[in-house]
Amino acid sequence: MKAFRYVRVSGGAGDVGKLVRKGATLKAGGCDLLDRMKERIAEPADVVAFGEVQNEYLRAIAATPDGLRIGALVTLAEIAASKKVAAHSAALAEAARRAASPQVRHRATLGGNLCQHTRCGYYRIATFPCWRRGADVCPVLVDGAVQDTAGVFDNGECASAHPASLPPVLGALGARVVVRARKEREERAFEALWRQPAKGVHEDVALAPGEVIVAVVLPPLPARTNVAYEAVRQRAAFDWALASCAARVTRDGGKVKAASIWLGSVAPTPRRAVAAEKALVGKAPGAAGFAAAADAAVAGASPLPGNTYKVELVKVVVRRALERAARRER
Amino acid sequence: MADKKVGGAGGVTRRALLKGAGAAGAAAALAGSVEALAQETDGGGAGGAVAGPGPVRMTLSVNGKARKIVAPPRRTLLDVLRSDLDLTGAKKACDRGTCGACTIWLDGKPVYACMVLAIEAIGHEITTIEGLGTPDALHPVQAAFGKHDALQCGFCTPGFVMTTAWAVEKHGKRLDRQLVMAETSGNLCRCGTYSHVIAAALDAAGAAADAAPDEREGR
Amino acid sequence: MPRKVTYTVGRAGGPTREITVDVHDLDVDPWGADAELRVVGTDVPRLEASQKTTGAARYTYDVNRPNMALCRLLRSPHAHATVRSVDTSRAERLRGVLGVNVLVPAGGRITFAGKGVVAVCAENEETLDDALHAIDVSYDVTGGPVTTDDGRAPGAERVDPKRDNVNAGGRRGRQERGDPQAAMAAAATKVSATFRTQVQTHSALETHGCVVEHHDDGTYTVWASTQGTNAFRGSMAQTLGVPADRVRVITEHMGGGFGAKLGAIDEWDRAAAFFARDLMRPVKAMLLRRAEHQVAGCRPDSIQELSMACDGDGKITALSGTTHGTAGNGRGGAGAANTRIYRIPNLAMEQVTVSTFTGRARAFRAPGHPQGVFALEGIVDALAIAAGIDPLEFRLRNDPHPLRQVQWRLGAERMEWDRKRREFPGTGAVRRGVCCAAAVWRQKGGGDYVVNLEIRSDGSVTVKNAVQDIGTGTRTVLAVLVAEELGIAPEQVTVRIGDTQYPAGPSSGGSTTAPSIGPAAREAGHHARLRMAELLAEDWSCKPGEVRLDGVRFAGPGGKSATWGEACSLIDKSGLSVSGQRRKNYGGFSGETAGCQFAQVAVDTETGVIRVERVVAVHDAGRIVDTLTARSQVVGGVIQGISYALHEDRQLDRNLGDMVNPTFDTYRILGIGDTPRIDCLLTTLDSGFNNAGMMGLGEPVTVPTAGAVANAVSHAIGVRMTEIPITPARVLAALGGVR
Repeated sequence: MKAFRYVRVSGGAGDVGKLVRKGATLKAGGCDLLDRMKERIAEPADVVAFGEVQNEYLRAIAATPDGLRIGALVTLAEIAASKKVAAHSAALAEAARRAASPQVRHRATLGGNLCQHTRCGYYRIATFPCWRRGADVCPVLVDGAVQDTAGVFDNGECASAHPASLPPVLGALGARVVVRARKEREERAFEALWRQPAKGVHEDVALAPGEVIVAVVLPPLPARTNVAYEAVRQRAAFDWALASCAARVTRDGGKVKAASIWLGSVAPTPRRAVAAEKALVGKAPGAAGFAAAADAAVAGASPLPGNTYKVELVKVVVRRALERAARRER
Repeated sequence: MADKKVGGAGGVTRRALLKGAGAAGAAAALAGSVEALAQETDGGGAGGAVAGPGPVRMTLSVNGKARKIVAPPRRTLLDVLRSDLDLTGAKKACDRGTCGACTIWLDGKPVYACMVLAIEAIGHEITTIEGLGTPDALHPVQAAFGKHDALQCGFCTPGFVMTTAWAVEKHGKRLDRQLVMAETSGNLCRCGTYSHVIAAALDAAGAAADAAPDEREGR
Repeated sequence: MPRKVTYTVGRAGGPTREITVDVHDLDVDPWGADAELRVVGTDVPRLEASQKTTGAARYTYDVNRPNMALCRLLRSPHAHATVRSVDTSRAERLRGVLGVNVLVPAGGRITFAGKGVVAVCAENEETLDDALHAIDVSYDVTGGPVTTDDGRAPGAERVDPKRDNVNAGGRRGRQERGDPQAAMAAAATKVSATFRTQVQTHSALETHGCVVEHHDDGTYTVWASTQGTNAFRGSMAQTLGVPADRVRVITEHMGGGFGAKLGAIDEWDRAAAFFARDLMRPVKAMLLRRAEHQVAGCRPDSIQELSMACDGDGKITALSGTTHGTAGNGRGGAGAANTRIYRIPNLAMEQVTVSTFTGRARAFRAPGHPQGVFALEGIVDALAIAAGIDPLEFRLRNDPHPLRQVQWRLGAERMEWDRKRREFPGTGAVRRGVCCAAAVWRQKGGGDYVVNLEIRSDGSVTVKNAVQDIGTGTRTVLAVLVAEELGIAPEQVTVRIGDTQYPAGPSSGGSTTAPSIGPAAREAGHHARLRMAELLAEDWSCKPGEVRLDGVRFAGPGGKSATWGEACSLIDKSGLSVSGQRRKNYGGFSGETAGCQFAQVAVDTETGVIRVERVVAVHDAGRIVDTLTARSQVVGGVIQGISYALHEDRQLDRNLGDMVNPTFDTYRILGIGDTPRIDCLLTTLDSGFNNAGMMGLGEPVTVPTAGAVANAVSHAIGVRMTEIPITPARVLAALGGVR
C-alpha cells in the first residue's frame, strides 16, 4: 500500500465532496478500496475518512413520504437485519444477507457496494495488463483465462462483470440514488448511475468529481407487486455470484401489468433486462411467460468461449426470480 | 561507510543505505490544498484533521485497555495488533479479507482486522482473541473447541473462535447447524475441521444436539 | 538378543492372523489385536488445544524478536523471460531499507512466474512494500507453455533447453503385466475414457517462511514453518556454511503444510538467512498469499486416457492407459490411475511427465493418489454400469483386501446404499446420486528415532523429541502412548517437541509421523514403568517383577499399593530419565492401508451447482491412538477432497503464464457453508508393524473423496464426469445444455 494522508472531517457529505474534488479518495468500509490499495491498483495520496463521518442522514434507514431511504454508510449487516428493509423488500434484505461474509457485512456499506470494482483477476493484480487500467487490450479476450468474474454481455473491450449483490435488487425496486453534488442533493435514476467500461477508467459509477453517493431511496411499491432475488453461487456461502437476478412483478387481474428485471454479475455494470420485461408485460404470470422472459433476457448475449454456461445461468435466475416473485409478497 | 556486502551468498552490494527521506518528503509536498480544505470544512469543530502519511500517534482501546502506538495511516489494524502490540492471536493468512484468520471484534462485531486501518479503529472497542479468554480461564466457546477438537493446525482457530463466540452470543440456544454454517462462513480452514466447529458451536450455545450426529465410530 | 513373540494382528472380530516376530530385547511386547487398553483408542482432546484456541500458541509467523527486520522477494510476473536489467538504486535510498540482494542478475533466465529476482530487507512492512515497488526490473519476455497440453505440443518452447518437455519416465513410469491386448480383445465388457484433473495448490493458512536470528557466538536460532525440523536444519546449516549443531530450528506450532513444507529450505529462507547473518539482526521472511499460490507447491494435473475390461462374471481382466501431467518446471510425476486397489491381471500403464514454465509441484497429501483414484474409480464405475452390475457389488468382486471387504459393507450399510441406489436420482431439477471409491496407502513408518522421557519426584512427566506437530495431533499421540504405559492421564504428560535441541524426529510426510515416533514413545514409557517398578520394589522389599500396574495404581505383594504421586516421590532429585527407540518394522497384517468412502450429492441440473450432502468415510490406520484427533484427520481429508473435486483450480493465463486467481475468493476452497454431514467409521486394528500396531492416517483419508463425489454426480445426472473440478460449467456441459 502506498503512503497516504488520512483526512478526517467533522462535517457531512458536502465537506467530504470538497475534498474529493481536490483529488482525495473516499473510504467508507474499505472492503474494496483497501484491497485495491494493497495491490497498488489504487494509490490515493489523500484518503477521506468517509466511514467515520457521524451524520444521521448517511447512517439512517428512514421511512419517508418518498419511500424508504437508506444512507450510504448503512452497512450490509444493518440492511440484512433491518425490519424496515424487510417490510419494504425482503429481497433486498436477502441480497444483503447473502453477500460475502458476516465480517465483510459488518464493514461494507451500501455506498461501497454500489462503487465496487470488478473482481477480474487481471484487473486486481497489478502485474497483469488490463484495459481498464490502461493496457491496449484485455488479456481475457486474447485467449486468456476466462474466470467466473467475466461477463456474458457487452464483452467489447473488457470482459469484466460487476460483482455487487445489491444493485440488481435496487434496480428492480426502482431505487433513486441520492448524490451530493456541490451544495445540493440530487436524485438520479438508478440506470443513470452506471457507465460502460472505458480504457483506463476503473470506476463503473458515473459520478462527476466531487459527487458523493449519500443515500438510496426506494419508492413505495405499487399494490399487487412482488420482488424476488435469485443468485447462483458455486459455494453456498462466502462466494461471488456467478449470475444474479432481481425481478419486480406487478399483477393486474390475470396479467403482468409491469415488470422490472435486473441482472448482476454478468455484465460490466448491473444490467436491466428490458427485453425480458417487455416479453413479460401483458402476459399471464406463469411458466410460458417466464420462459419467454428468460429467453429474452439473454438476447444479445456475447459470451466468451469459456463462459457460455453463464447464459444458461442467466435464464435460470430470471425464471426462478420471476417464479418467486409470482409467489411471494414483496 | 564503504559499500558493504549484505544479504548475498557473495558479491552483492548494498549501496547507500539509510540515506535520505524520499517518500515522506514527496508526500508532504502534495499536502497543501487538502489540508487547508480539511481545516476549513471543520467549521471550527475539533474533529477534522489530516494525519500522515508518516507515523501518527494514536491510542487504541484493545481488550479494555488503552494502548498507545505510533503507526502510519496505511498500517492495518492487523499489523498493529501483531507487530506493534505483539498480540499475535489474530493471524495473517490472506491479508485480503478472504479467509477470516484475522477476525477480531470491533465494537462487539466480528470484522477482518486486515481490512481495517488502525487509524480507523480509534474510538472503537477492539476485542482480540487474547481478550476473550486465556488458557487458564477459557471462554465457553474456546473450551468447546478443545473438547470437540474443532482445530487441527490451529492457524484458523482464533479467528473461528471469535466468529463463533459472536454467533453463540447472538443466537444463544436458537443456534442450529444451518445458522452456525451461515454465521461462520467467513472463516476458512484448510485442515477441514468444520464438522467439529459445528459441534463445538452447538455445544457452547447449549443448543439441542443435532438429530443425526456427524460421526459415529464403527468399531 | 531379540526375542520371538507370536501374536494376533488385524482387527478384533476379523479379519486377523497370527504372526511371529523378532522383538528387540529393549522393546516392549506388541499389543496385538485383542489388547484392552485404558487410554489408547479413546477420545483425548489435543494437549495444546487451549493454547491454540486462545491465540497463545506462537507460530513461526507470530515470532516477534527484538530489533527484527522483514524480508521479502520481488518476483517475476513472467513465466519465461531473461532479465535485461535490475535497478535497485531507488529502493536502496529509502529510509529503513536494510539490504538489497539481487538473486537473478541481468542475463539470468526465469522459468516460472513468481521466481524471486531481488530480495529486500527492511525495518517494517510499509518500507518493505515501498522498496519492492521501487525496484525496476526489465525483462526480455520469451513466453512458453504453462499447461500440460501446450507443453507437449510439437515445437513447444523447452523448459530445459537440453531436454524435451515430454519425459516418458522410463521404467519407473511404466507398469506392465500379463497380456492386456489379448484380455481387452476377449473381454465381455470394455470401456474407455479420458480423465482430467487440475492443478491444486496446498493453500496452508500459514504461508511458508522463517525467522532467522544470528547470535554473537556464531550460532543461529531459526523458527520455521516446516514439516521437518531436522531436514530444515541440515539444509539451513549447509546454506550458512556452518555445522548443523550451530543451528537450532524451532517449530513449536505449525499452520499447515500438507506436503509443501517438506525437505530443504527455500530461496526466501536463504535470503532471510543471509540478511540475518550479515546484519546481525533477526530477520523474518513469510510469503504473501499470492506467492504461496505461485511458487510454494502444488499437486500436478493429469490427463489420463484409460481403457478397462472385465469378463462375464464382472471380474476385471485388463487396464491400459497413458497419463500426462505437469509438475511444473521440474520433472516430477503426475499421478496415474491407481493399480493397487483392485485385482488387475493384465496391465499396461505409462506415465509421462511434461515440463512447463510453472512453479514446481511438491508432495501434496498422498501424492499421485487422489488423481489416480479419481480416474481408476471413474473407469471402474463406468465398467460396472456397462456390465450391468451394481457398482458396489462390482467392487466387492474385484477387491482382494480382506479389511476393505469389511469396510465396503460397513459403509454401504451406513449410507443406505441399496435404498439410495434404487431411489436416486429422482425427478425434478435437483437430482441426487450416491457412489463410492476406495482408499489405499502403504506407509508404515520407520527409522530409528529416539524419544527421551523424564520423570521428576513431583510426578511431572516430560517427553522430548524434535518432531513437529503439523496439526495432526502428534503431541497428543505421544502423550497418550506414554500415559497408557504409566497409568496416568495424557494431560499429565508434557510433550516438548518441534525443537532440534531434542533427539531427531521424522519429517511429517506420507502419514509416517505417528507410526515412526509413537512406538518409540511407547517403549520409553515402558522403560520408565520398569524403573518405577524397581524403585517401588526397593521400597516394598519385593522383586521388580512383582510390581504391576493395576489401572492407574502400582500394586505389589501383600496388598501394597501406590498412586502415581506416591511412586514418584521415590525418585531422587536428579529425576528419572529413560529413552525409547523406534525399532525395525515387523511383518505386519497388510502393507496396504485400507479405506473407502461413500458420497451423496444433490445436483441442481439447471444451474449445475453441486452440494455434497453426506459422506461416509470408513478407514483403517492400524491402531487408532486418539480417536478424537483421528476423526479430525478423517473429516479434514474428506473436506479437502470435496474441495478438490468441486472447486479448487489454479488458473493460469495461457499466454502470460501467471496465476489469475491467487486469492481465496477466486481460488475456492471448501467453506463451512458447504460442509456435509460426515460419518467417520474407524476400523481400528493392530497393524502388526510395531509395538503399538500403528499406521498413518493423514493421507488415505483424502485419497478416495474426489472419486466418490465424481461418481455420485455421475449417478445423479446419468453422465460420466471425467474432469475435476466439477464446476457448474462442467455439469451443464455434461447435460448438454451448453455447447
